[in-house]
Amino acid sequence: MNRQPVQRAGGIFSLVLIIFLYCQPVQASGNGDRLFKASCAQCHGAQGQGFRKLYPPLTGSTVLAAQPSRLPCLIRFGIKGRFRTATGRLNLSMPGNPWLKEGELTELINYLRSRFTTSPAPSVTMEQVAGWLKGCP
Amino acid sequence: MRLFLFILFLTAALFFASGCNREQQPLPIMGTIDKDFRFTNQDNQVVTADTFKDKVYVADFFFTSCPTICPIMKSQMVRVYEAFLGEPELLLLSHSIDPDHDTVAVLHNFAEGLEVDSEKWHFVTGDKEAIYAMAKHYMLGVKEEKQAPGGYIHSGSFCLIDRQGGIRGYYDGTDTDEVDQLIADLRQLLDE
Repeated sequence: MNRQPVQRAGGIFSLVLIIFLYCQPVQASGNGDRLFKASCAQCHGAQGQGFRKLYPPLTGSTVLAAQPSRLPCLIRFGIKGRFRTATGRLNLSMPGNPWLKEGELTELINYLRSRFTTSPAPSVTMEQVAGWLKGCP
Repeated sequence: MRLFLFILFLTAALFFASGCNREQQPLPIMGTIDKDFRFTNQDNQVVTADTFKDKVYVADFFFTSCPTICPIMKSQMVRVYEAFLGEPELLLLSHSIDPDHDTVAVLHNFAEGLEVDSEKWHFVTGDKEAIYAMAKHYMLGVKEEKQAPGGYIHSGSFCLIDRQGGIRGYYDGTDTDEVDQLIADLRQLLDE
């Protein structure tokens, strides 16, 4: 039996498979959820429902949906003072997460926008996040 | 067969009868809170040991910018608050371990965010050393730790104190089952 065509097909298939897997975009694949649970869920709730008027809900958040450029600074450095939310105005502080790296912030933001916004929110890239971080007050 | 059924019935009857007549075991006394204090609550009112005289109360230690256990503790304490909303003999006392940040104004906003009555749930601030001394008196751990998220490590326990200042229990304020037990024990203590 001539094995060369079979071997050649197998080699091409393996090469295609390797290229396919290597070129896959970085999926949240649980990491976004892990980051959410570690950094956000304690206050904003496991379902993003918030808690009374103390911790605002993530569901329905206009910042998440329409102002992604604010998110990296907000998540990394927190908020102090007056802040408008979907449920009204708050005058409180939100602790930051200074340990989150740009890649983690990107994953977390994309996870939050995919989970808690009603209309499809385009993904943000790490380059965008890095750029927005430079503008943090 | 009839004899067997009769014995079975008798056993069951005795079992349930003993259960109905069983008295609740009193809660243990683990210590005494007899140290006076003077703090300020979210309405800028002075709060001392006298505020809690002849009251049953639950005490804990927290700080408003705490990113870890405090949000869960507060949501669990809200359960206690709501379970005894109409009970004037029950008070709640939350001490801030970060009084530099948790001023009266900050605590006021925090309490407003929780939508709770200041007469029932006191969030207090004051001299840091005095607050930490009270934590030690309650036998609850509190420590400033720059490496920790938020800058502090503290116990997540709720401490139950009776009308005479006796410590009657500690409950993990992040655990729903333990807070269920706290609510049950509070009912028992308030009935005494």
